[in-house]
Amino acid sequence: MAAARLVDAGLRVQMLDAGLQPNEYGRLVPDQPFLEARRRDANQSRYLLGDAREGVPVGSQMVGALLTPPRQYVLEPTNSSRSPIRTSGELEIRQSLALGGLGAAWGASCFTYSPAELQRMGLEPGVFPRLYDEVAAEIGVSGSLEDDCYPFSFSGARNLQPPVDLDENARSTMDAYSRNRAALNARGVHLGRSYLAVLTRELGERRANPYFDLDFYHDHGQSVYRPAITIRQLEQRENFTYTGGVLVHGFEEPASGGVTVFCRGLTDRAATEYRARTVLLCAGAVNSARIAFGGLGAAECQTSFLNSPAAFFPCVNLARLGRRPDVRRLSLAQISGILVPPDDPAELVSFQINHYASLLLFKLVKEMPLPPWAGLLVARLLVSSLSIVGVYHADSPNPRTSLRLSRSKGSGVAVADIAHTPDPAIERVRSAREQQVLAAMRQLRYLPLGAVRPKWGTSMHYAGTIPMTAAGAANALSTDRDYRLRGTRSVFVGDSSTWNYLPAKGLTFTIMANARHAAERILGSLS
Amino acid sequence: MSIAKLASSLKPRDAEVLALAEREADPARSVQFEPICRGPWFAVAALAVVGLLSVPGMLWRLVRALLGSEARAR
Repeated sequence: MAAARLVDAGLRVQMLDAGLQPNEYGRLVPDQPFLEARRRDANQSRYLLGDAREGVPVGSQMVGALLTPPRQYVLEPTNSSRSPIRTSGELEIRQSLALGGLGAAWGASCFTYSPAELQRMGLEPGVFPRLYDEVAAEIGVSGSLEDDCYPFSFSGARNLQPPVDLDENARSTMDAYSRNRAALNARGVHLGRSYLAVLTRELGERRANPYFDLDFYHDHGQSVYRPAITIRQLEQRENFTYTGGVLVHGFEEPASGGVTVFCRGLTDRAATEYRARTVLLCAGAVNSARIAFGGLGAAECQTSFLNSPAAFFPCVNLARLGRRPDVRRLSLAQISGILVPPDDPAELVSFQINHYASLLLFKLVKEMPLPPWAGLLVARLLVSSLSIVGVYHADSPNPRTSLRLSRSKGSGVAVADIAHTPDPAIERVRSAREQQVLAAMRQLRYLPLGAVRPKWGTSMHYAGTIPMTAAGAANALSTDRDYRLRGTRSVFVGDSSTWNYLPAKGLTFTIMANARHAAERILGSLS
Repeated sequence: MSIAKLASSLKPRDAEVLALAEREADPARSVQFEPICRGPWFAVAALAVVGLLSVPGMLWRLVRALLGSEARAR
């Protein structure tokens, strides 16, 4: 988004990126609904399970278990030497070197942040309604302006396509919500259709979603927005150059002006350099900090790290138990909710309801303490009503969580050590909030079956490693109000690294708006 | 052995999961993996029956897991 803004302004822009390309599985996914493909497609094992059966999770594997083989290239392995991160056993921080980063596999849920949230993050609330509208028009967001969640989830943006069609599971949930709205609202619970970067109308060369229920495997007609779409569009412009296959590890600002950026080849590790007048870092919270550290020349440093923790609750939607599932449906979360805790209304909790349909039964059977034959029968009986309620919490800087950067001996590559010690008081509050959400779900006739609490960090919502602070603040890495990295003249940071607070709501849409804002600040600095 | 570990020992082994996945991705067997949709009361009754029928198998797995953990402890 930042590159697009700069290219539109007439600047010559070069994007340096690892840029791993999608594997071939996506091309095998047929243009037909999931249930039909399951009955007829002889190639289905390739994209459902993967050629090396990489789509079959083993042991206690949690992260990536829901990433299907066509999307698994997006996540860098935890033991990656290209992007090394060290954590304790209770943490799992994941990175992406894919074209478009983690956005290549995001769930397409869009949220705007309120002025109060933007203020806490250190951003300028006044400019974001315009930025949100511009991003919504660019990527195509579907949703309703009349929704109960609109004031909490998507206020400020009005440029929307019609909402996606609900499947029977989602419709029954919204019906139950309508019947219980007053009681739920009194408890701070608001439910509505998700705001999704999914087209319901054509947009340029992109098509409306065909409701094949194959969205976890392939983006038919590019109906789901992925950052790679923007990059491919930019490649048509003469003032844009895309350089893939490189990892940026540092920079230098020569006295003569400008910036020299240092890279290594992704495969051959060959060193390369690029020159620019100005550099904008948008490599994600961990990797932007890694590059900033590499450029500032310290032997090691410690900075803040924010992560939005999540818990998942498999539930049976009793209204749909034993009922026939929809053939025509969208796989992504059609319903989202917000809990405004009555005792702390500033600390919103976000939750999303995913109906489990196209992710295959063997993954359910794997988690059941039953013999496989029994697990399969239970899965077949429950799957049309099975939903996963994901509850997400906000995060603020605290001394119990940190990112320490140091240089590895030999290669000199910056190694990220992430440490987190849970705060019992905070965990108690989060647990209480989750119980409030579950109480609301019971009122909607959802029967919770258990809780899945993945390792801290698995939500892959990260921020806060180069916070935007007032001058003189004591953080090893920081930016000024213009997104400029402190200690540099011409290096800016345009991703969630600069945020001082991470709201519970999904961050991707605001990352895009924020990147545009950072680009505008660069334009201001150049003029 | 904690309850969580006991429950975990009852879960299918990786080889069983893989075999199930192979069957599920075979279009000739897709009917064996389609949702059973005969109404909510049938679903409740069927779940109860499956639960009862799987008790002997679960007990057998439990005993095997306990004996296995004792043998490892020795």
